Amino acid sequence: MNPLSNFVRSASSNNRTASWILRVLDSGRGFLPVISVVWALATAAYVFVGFADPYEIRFVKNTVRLADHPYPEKIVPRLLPVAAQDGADLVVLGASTSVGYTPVMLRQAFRGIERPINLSFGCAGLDFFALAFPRLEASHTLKRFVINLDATFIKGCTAGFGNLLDMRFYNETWSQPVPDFSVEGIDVAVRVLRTGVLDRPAWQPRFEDRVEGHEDSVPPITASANAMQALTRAANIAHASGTDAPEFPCSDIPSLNALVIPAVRRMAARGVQIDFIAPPYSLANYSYASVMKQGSDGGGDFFVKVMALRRCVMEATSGVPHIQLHVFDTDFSITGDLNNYKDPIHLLQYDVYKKIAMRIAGGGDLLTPSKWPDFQQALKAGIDQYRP
Amino acid sequence: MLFIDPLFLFAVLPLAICLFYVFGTLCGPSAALGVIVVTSAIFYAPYGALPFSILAGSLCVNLAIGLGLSSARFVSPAIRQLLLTGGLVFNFLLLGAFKYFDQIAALVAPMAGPILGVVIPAGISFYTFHQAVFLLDAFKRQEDVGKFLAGADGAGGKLSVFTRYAAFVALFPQLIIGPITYMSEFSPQALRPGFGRLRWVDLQVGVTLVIVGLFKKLVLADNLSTLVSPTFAGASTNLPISSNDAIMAIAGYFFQLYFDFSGYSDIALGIARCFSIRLPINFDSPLRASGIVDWYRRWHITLTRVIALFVFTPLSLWGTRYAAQRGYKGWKRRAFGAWLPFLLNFQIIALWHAAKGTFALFGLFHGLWYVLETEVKASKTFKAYRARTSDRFRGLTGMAISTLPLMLSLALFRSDSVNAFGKLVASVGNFAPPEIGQVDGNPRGWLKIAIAAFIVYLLPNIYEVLRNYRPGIVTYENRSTAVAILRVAWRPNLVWGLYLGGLAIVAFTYLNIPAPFLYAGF
Repeated sequence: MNPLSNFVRSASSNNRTASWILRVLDSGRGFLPVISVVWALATAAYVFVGFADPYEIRFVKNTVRLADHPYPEKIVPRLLPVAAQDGADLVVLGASTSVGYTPVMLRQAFRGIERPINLSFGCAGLDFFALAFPRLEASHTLKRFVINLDATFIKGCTAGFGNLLDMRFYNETWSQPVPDFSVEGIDVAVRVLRTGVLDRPAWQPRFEDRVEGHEDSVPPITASANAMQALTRAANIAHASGTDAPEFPCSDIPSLNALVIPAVRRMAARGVQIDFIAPPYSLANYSYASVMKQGSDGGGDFFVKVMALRRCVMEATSGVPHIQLHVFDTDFSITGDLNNYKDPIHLLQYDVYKKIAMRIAGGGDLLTPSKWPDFQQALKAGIDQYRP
Repeated sequence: MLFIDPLFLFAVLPLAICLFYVFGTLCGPSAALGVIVVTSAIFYAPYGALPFSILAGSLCVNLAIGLGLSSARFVSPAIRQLLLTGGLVFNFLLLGAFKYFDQIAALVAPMAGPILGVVIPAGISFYTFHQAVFLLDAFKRQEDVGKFLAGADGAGGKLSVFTRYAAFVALFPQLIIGPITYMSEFSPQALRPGFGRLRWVDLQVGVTLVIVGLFKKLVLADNLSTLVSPTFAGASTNLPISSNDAIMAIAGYFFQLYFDFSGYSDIALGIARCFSIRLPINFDSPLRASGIVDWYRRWHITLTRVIALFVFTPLSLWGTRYAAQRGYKGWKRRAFGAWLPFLLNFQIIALWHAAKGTFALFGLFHGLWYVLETEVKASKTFKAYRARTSDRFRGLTGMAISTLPLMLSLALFRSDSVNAFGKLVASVGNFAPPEIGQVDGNPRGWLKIAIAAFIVYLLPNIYEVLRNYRPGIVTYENRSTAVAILRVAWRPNLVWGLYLGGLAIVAFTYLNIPAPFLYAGF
């Protein structure tokens, strides 16, 4: 016998109200109506999100605006359709090393830019870039396109390490027409309908809180004795930096020739200004990556891969109007100071990102074939002489 | 489609249920089965044209052979044997070609790349076994098969038989990941005169199973995946892993796989029940098993029984005869009659998942454990121990002994390679301070594992809760090990409606997470 039934029986003999309530609760008529109501409400929410289409993955509306602050990284991969269709005039594309560029910073740095958007997110890989380039190429409002040459251009992102790209948003399969259906999706849809702005869900933190003023809450890597010991250990191993390793051929980076270079050439021909940025990794990272992360994607021959990305882009775009490659690796005030970094790869300070953005906007720190030997020599010397 | 696709849950499923009862009431059982077939086609179509064609072709070939085997025209045993062999060869070749060919080629020549280069058709492992069992039943001229395939004369009759057969094999709740159903279980239900007429209790039990399954998959299993995936990926890519993370990943996967796969099975049984069909129960609190023998009576039950039918039983018969012919006694007799069949049985179960070294090792480990346990249980010492201890004591002791080896074997099952498994297990002893780039520990990890353990070890499973309403077909009778006071019985009343409605709301909030069922890859 169900314990509830026993309880009902004993309670009903004592108190009439209690017995009535318990009888109602135990009544056989309430079960399916309650479940049906829940199901119907969820279905209604699903239909609502489907038609509201906050991320413009089903209908092109040209009316949705992007918010003026960075988005949580999880949301960023979904912003591509709105960025491409609804009037963004500057786009930053890259992975984790370019996440720190904020719209406000970009607007301040680049004159004439009104609606910038940063589409960088951690572990953004070739799958996302393959979606992004054709869509951004089709944009009629794009004036400036900043491409951060993250290491993920070479090998993509290792699955299982938080690849935030949800391909259901781009697959266009009829069996998954509303991939944005979720509690977040309902909230975002309501906000888009009310304000016209595609913003993050209300309860998620504003991402710029983690960038602007970030240095107060997240310590630089120098604050970790354990990390500094590991970096010192790696730096003291002879030839660990891999600067003397043979060159990595451009043919081993098929994404460049197949996807990136043809697209940017066409865009540049239309007058879109293309800025490639080489993300400034800390000098300490080269030895560390080679020694400590053998066998992982970011490890092994890190130096030659990084240099290959820079060299191959430079060679493929040299002399093409409206295309520039900016490098900051040999600015040792950035790369030689670990106080600027939260780990050996990622910059920490808002001010450093801003400084880099200003220098890109000003057309500085360009790498050209004539500067290549000196640049390579200076970086090698900087890495080999560096001790944390 | 997946059970967790919102389009399926909010549009296809409710519509299909409505049409099933409308057609079933107005036009009869055949029309109701037709609705199931059409829904199954819609459900399977997103997997692509090639998998769809393979399924359709497989259905036609097996039905034709099944009709031949059950027909009174073919009386010659040789012809019938030939038909059966041909059918089985066809099924297993199809499975081998699409599932194993490229995997074995990759093992032989890793750099050569895939030869066929096609994605494994969804559900092929399951519908192959499903139909192979059907052919065996047809060969034995089981009464159920004869009734089910009767009336295949004329175009209308052939269409009717095809519809029935397609509904049996391609029944969408069980098509992708089982449970593997026998004709003797399906036929009496589908052929009963009132099939297709609404019985409220079917809907009530069905939605209960669906909601519990969704909760297990979306809330429990997918939340545990955050403890599991980064650490297992870290083990594959040589990233440092702390002791804490390694233990959480091993324990987390133990619970995740159970909630994920049993959640799927619950949904499958629930959806089928909404269409007035009871499927066999596939999971019966396996994590509370008292040993490996008990484990396989509770875990993926319908695969266990099919492999036993095709592998263990014939091998054991052959081995026993072989040993008897040669006059073997003692351990030699047991080696041929039981040990070798067990080892092969578990190797087949393991490699059924994929041709991988980790699976082979997993199968070997389970096989050896099974042999050891059956020998121990047959010993005089154990019989004496059984005589002086209670079932409950032995169950708890067995569970205490078995849990760690089961956890480790499933971690091996989950690992990308034997090396990665070794690295993961070695990391259990890594108490060094965290390094740069180390896989991040999950601060709420232990809370998640504690909740999972509470549900697994103390609460009754949903089939125990629904015990008064026969939620599924029972293959093995297992004693309940749930805490007696928590062993509540479900009733279709408002309290349970509110409780399940609450579970459904929580589950729906996780619907957007793109995490397919773990077993969908097999």
